Amino acid sequence: METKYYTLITGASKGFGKAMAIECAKRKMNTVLVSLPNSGLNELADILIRTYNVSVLPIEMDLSLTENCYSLFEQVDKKQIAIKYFINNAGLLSRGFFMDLDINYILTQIKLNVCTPTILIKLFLKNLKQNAPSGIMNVGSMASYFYLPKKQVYGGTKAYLLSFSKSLRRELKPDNVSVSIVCPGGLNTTPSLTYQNRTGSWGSRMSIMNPEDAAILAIDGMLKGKEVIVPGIVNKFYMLLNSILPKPVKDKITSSEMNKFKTEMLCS
Amino acid sequence: MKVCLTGATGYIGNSLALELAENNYEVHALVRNIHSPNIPVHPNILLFEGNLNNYDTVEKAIEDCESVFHTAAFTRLTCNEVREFYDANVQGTANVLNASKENGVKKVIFTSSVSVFGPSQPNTLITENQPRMSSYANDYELTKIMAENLVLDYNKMGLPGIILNVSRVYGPGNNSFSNGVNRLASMFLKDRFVFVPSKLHIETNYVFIDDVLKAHILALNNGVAGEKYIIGGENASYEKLFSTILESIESKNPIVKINYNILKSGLFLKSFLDKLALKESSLTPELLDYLFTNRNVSSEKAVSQLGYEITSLKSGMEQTMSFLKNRNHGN
Repeated sequence: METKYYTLITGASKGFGKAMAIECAKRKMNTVLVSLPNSGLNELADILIRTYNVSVLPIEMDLSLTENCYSLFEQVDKKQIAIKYFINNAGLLSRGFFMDLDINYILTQIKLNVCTPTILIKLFLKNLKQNAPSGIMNVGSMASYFYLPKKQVYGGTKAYLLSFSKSLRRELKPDNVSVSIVCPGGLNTTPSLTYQNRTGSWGSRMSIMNPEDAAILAIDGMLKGKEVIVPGIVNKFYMLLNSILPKPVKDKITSSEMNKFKTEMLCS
Repeated sequence: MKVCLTGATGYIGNSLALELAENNYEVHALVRNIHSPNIPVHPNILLFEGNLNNYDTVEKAIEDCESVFHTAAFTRLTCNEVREFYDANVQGTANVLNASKENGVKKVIFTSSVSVFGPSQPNTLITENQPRMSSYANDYELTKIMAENLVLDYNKMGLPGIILNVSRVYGPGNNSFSNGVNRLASMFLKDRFVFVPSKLHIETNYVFIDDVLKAHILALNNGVAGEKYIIGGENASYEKLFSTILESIESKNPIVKINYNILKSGLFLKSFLDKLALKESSLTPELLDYLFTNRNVSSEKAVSQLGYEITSLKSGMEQTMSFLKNRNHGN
């Protein structure tokens, strides 16, 4: 009998993770979807099964706790589910200036954005190797490359994922397990972020994407085994600028962004 | 019982004010301009001049009221200033909720739209717990969901709030942007030929205005705080809508189909030229897609939990057409 393969997506009930879950279903890929309890995951799974006639297994748990990473692995292992693609998407966004951040928030952010994907890949690697050719996709950010105020810890965790993905990619090449990282710019995820995106400066508004459009490019890139996926022409252009502009110019742009934050604060 | 109503000059709000007044509620109607031609007139309706963005005027209208019907919204989809939508729909709702909380209001009924759920999926009706499957298509949807979230936040803070997700409304009432079906029906009455885009298989839900009014009063009496109820009518394709309209006026006028994609390309060009001329387009390609989106809904929750009843499209449309005929004679 032919093996039934699954794609596992963490943080699948909201935003980019949800868009990738829908995109996989549209491509008739079966999924294991993981997200926090009471985040609407079961409703999402129901509608995907009904609409696209695929297998979807929803698992609700808080992945910032290490024991839950193990328990996720055990649940999947017990059901003998063959994982073909593993998407590490769950993460916490940046929230403000470093001075104002709560230490517990920062610690959870580091755990969820750095430790969780690392542990999960370690646990699931054997499963992925057995199903090779297979793939891992980590969700980074444009902040993996850019140094911005208000994105200190967040940017740091995403830079870790970039470095980790690129090294691991080389290590796993002989096993036929491809490792990709997708680095989206601003996405219209929650209503309040979408509103913020619509009121931003022209330059940033141009780079904003809908998660469903970024998801198509991300899944395409993952299936093709691309190393780094940057969705959107404008974001690619910013990456190009980043590589050719001299440092003083970049610093000037960053500090003008910083001043904007300061005026925002004065106004609010 | 004293109730406050916002949006009393709007399509739903105007008729709801009169319906409440007829049912012996004392209605405090918040209006921007007391000389507006759309003011509902009834001995039980007391006018409060004010503005959703002026907290004090909102509070004055809400003071002493036991319940609040918040029907006011900025709905002009052709407007491309997100700020206009935000100020009225989000900031305005925050003011209504805050004033209600401060004045010990016992229930807030918030009129929202089924469009916040996005399109319906193939072979599936939209229900209250359908997850959103694509991004918010326009600023109206976006700011309405933000307002809904505020209602739910305030509900958690102790101000009981109920959300009604109304589908596409038609039926007797005043002219406004949110009354597209009536405008369409008037075209069928007046014009020999009606040009329509060729996607006639698209199915949407049409709810008769009287049902919407009754649903608001049912929600006040039977609605559970923190819950959403879809208030819909019949699911019908554009084809069925048009034939129902034509049958109800016994017209044999032909419908002329225009290729959807050609129409859309034309609108792209038109709205580009409008943008250059700094004009607001009356119909944009985005709005066309928005109007031609499948939105089949189920009102089962409202039927079973509120005692809501649905008027058939045929009967509703007959009443609508005779209303429109009389209004045209009046002109």
